[in-house]
Amino acid sequence: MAHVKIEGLNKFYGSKHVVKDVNLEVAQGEFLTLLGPSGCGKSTTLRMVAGFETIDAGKVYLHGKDISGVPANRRGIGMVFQSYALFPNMSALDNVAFGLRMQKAAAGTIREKSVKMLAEVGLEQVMEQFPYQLSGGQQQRVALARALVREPEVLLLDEPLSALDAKIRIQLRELIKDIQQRHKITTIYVTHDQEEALSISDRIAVMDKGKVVQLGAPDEIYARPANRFVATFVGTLNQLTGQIVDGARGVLDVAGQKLTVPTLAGKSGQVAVGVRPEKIRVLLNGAAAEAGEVALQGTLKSAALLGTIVRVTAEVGGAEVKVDVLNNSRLPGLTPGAQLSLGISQENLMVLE
Amino acid sequence: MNKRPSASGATIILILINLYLGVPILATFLFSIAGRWDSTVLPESYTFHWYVQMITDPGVLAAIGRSFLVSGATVVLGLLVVTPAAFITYQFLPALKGTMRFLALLPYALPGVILAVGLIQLYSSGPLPIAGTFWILLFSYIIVTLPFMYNAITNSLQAIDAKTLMEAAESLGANRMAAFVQVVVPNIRPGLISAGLLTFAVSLGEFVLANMLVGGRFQTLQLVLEKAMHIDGHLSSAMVMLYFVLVAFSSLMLIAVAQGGGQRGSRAAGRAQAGSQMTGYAQ
Ligand SMILES: Nc1ncnc2c1ncn2[C@@H]1O[C@H](COP(=O)(O)OP(=O)(O)OP(=O)(O)O)[C@@H](O)[C@H]1O
Ligand SMILES: [Mg+2]
Repeated sequence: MAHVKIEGLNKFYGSKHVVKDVNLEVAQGEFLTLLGPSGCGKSTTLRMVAGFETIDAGKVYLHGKDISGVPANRRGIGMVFQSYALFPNMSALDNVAFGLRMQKAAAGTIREKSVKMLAEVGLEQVMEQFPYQLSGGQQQRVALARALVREPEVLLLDEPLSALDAKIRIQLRELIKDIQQRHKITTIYVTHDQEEALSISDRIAVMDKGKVVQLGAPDEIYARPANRFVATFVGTLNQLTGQIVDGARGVLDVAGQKLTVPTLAGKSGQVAVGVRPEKIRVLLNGAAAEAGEVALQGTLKSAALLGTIVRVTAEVGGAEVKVDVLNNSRLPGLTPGAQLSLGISQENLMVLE
Repeated sequence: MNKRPSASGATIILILINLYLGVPILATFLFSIAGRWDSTVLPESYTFHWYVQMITDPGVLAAIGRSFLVSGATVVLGLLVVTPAAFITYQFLPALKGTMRFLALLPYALPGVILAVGLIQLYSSGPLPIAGTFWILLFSYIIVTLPFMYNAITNSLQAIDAKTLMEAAESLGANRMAAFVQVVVPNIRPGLISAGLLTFAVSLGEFVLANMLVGGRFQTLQLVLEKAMHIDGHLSSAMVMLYFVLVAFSSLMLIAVAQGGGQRGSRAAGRAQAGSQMTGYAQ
C-alpha cells in the first residue's frame, strides 16, 4: 500500500484553477519531488497534504486512512519551509525541542533527543544560539532537525534550498538525502530547480499549470520526456525544426541539411526534434559520421569553459546548437567562425510534440 | 564622488533637534521654580513653593491616580481585545484586512468633540447608561487609541511572518492556541510594548474626551492641569513637569516590566523585527 496517496486533488483560488486533478502515490521511504516552474501549483499541492490549505476536491490518504479533514497539527507530518520559519525567540535547541514539548515528552528525553538530532545535522556547536546568530544554511539545518526529531510519518519540504547560495545548496541537499535514507522517511520535496530534482529524487512528478504531466525516475524523465514542456524544462535541450521530405524513411530537412531519423517515419509537415548537448559529438579532422549517426554541419560561435565541461555553441541553419564536451578531449583551435561537423546518434534525437 | 554629510554636520543637526525639544521643557521647569521673573533674562529668585502647593493638594494626587487608572486600564483592555482581533484578521480573514485598517483609522478622522457628543447621546440612556462614568472614558480611550494598537500589532505580525510561524508550530503538533501563545505572542512582544506605550501616553495626555464625557465627575490630571493654568502659570508649569516625569517614569517601568516578563529570547525577537515598528504609524 502506498504510504501517501493523493487522489483527484483540486484547488481553486476564486475562479483560478491552480491544482488540477493531481494523483500521486508515494511509497514508504520514497523520495518524491514535485518539479515545475513558478506558479504551477507545487506549493499548493504540498500545503494541501500538510493541511494548511483546504482541499476543494479529492482526498489525501496516509497509510490508507483518509486524512483530508484532519487538522495539520494532528497529521504527524513534518514540514520544512523555504524561509526556515524558525521561532526567533528560541535558541536552536529550543526550536528543535518545541515539537517534543508539544508531545509532552519528559524533560530529559526532550533534551537528549534534541541534542542528538542537532548533532546529526552537524550543529552541536551552536545549540544555544538564536536564529539571528546563525547563517542561512545553519538555520535550515535547525529547521530540518526540528521537523525530524518528532519522527514524523512524512516529511514535506517546500523549496528548502532556494534561499541559499550554490555551494551550501549542494552540501545541504546531500545532507537531506543522507538523513532521508538513514531514517527511511517518506519525503515529498518541492523545487523548481531541475538539477536539484534530478540529483536527489527517487521519482519526479513534473507539474505544469496545475497538472502532473510526467511521473517517473530522474533518468527516465531526462531521457524520455513525455512532451515538449518536460523536454525543455528538465535539462538543456537543442531543438531542430525542419520539414519532412521523405515520410517513408523519416528524412527531415533542417535548413538544407538532411537528417534521417527512423522515429519520424510516417510523419509529415513541420516537425521538431530535440537533442541534449552531451549527446552530440564533435567530428574531428574530417571524420565522418558513424553508422546510426546523423551528421550536421555548422559554424562555431563560441566555446565556454564551464569547469569539467566545455560548452561549444554552434550555428546550424540559423539555429543555435549547444554541445557539451569533456574538458579533457583535445579540441583543436576552437576559433569562432570555424567549420564544425557534428554527429548525433539517431536514438538520441527525440521527437518533440 | 558623492559628498557624504560630515560627522560634525550630523552633530549640529542632533544638537539643534535636542534644543528644539529640550528648550520648552527647560523653560517650563525654570518657570515652575521661579519666584520673581519680570524684567530679567533669568529668574531673580527661585522657590519650590509651587511644587509644595501641588503636592499638598489632595485634588492633584487623586487626579494623578485617576489618570493612571484609566490609562493603565486602556492599555490592558486594549491589548487584550485588539491583539486577538488583529491576529485573527491577519491569519484567518485576510479579506477583511482593508476594512479593519479603515476602521482602525476612523478615530483619527473623528474630532474628539464629535465623538464625545455622539457617545453622550448614545450612552446617557438605553441598555448601557454609562455616560459620565469612568467606563465611558475607558471605552472611548480604547477606541481613540485603536489606530496605534491595531497598526502596531498588525505590522509586528507581518514583520515576523506570523502566518508561516503558525504553520511551523502546527506542523510540530501545536494546536492554534498553543502556537499563538507560545510562538506568536513572544515574538510580537516589542510591538505590543510600543503599542502599549503609545496608548498609555496618549490616554494620559487626553483632554477633550475627559472634559466632555466625565468632566468634574472623574477629574483626570489633564482637567486639573487645565484649571491650574487659569489660576497660576507657575503652578501649572510645576504640574506639567510632574506630568512629564510621570510619563517618562511609567514608560520606563512599562518597558522594564514587559521585557522582564519575557523569555531569554525577547531580545532576539526584538532584533528580528527592529525597525519594523516605527514605520507602522505613518500609514
Ligand atoms: N492565497 C492565494 N490566493 C490566490 N492565489 C494564490 C494563492 N496562493 C497561490 N495562488 C496562486 O496559485 C498558483 C499556484 O501557486 P503555488 O504557490 O502553488 O505555485 P508554486 O508552484 O509553488 O510556485 P513557486 O515556485 O513560485 O513557489 C499561482 O498562480 C499563485 O498565484
Ligand atoms: Mg511555491
